[in-house]
Amino acid sequence: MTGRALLLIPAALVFLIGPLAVPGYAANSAGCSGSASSVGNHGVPLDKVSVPGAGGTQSLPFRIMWNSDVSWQGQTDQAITSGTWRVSVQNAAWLFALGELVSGHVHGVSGTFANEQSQTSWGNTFSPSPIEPVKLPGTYEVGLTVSGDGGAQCSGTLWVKVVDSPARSPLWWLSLVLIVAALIMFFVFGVSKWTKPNLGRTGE
Amino acid sequence: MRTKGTRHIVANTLAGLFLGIGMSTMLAIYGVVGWSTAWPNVILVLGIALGLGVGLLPVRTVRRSSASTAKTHSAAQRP
Repeated sequence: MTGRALLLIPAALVFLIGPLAVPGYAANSAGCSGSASSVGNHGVPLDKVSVPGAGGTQSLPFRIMWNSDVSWQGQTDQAITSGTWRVSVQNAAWLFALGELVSGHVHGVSGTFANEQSQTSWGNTFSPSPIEPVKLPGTYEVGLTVSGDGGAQCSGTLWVKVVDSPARSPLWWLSLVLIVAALIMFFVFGVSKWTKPNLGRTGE
Repeated sequence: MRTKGTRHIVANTLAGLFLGIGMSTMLAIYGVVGWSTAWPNVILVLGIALGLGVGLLPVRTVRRSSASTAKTHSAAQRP
């Protein structure tokens, strides 16, 4: 029995941890390339990344702040006159997917565009907070897809880290309340049952 | 008796679920685990497993007769 357990536990750990040890892929793209830069508090430059490039990995993500600007510029391999774009979180955990479902962003954020001048260079500045009012600190693998009406495609992925302090954000409070509730429930229904013997008649 | 046992299991499993969600979210927002990895899911499942495990542990019971015997025994030993 002990021998079997000694074999089963490492096998279970390899099975469980193996798929979790995802190699740190660098930022990549197909059909386009670009770069982005972010600013922190008081407009101080925070980070920059090139796609494709060495940065934007899980261990070295592109850092942004929720309320600050992110500037980007990119080039497509061929002119895309009109089409749709979509930014979404890749391989989202169940809880994040549930949050997306609740917030109505099941497939991420998307939109349409028209490029009458047939330009191949693009650029813009945006801030995450007007798009999603609830601050979401943490690290994400973000995917961008641009689909032209003529069939041209541009796609890319990179890891992004929202570096705002999570303390006292709505998610922080929700987590705290759940942890405290769980500990109280464990005490009431679990620990107290072991420490206090039940003096009821049993088996009589 | 069965109702009590079931309630014990359900309550502890629910507590495990809450702990799993809370810990998973807390670790993800602090960047310890990524939102795009399987870790938040694993932590959630481990929380539920812990709750279920605690719920399935037998409740310690002492027979009334044994308790009375122990009481009598301790009373007899008192000077």
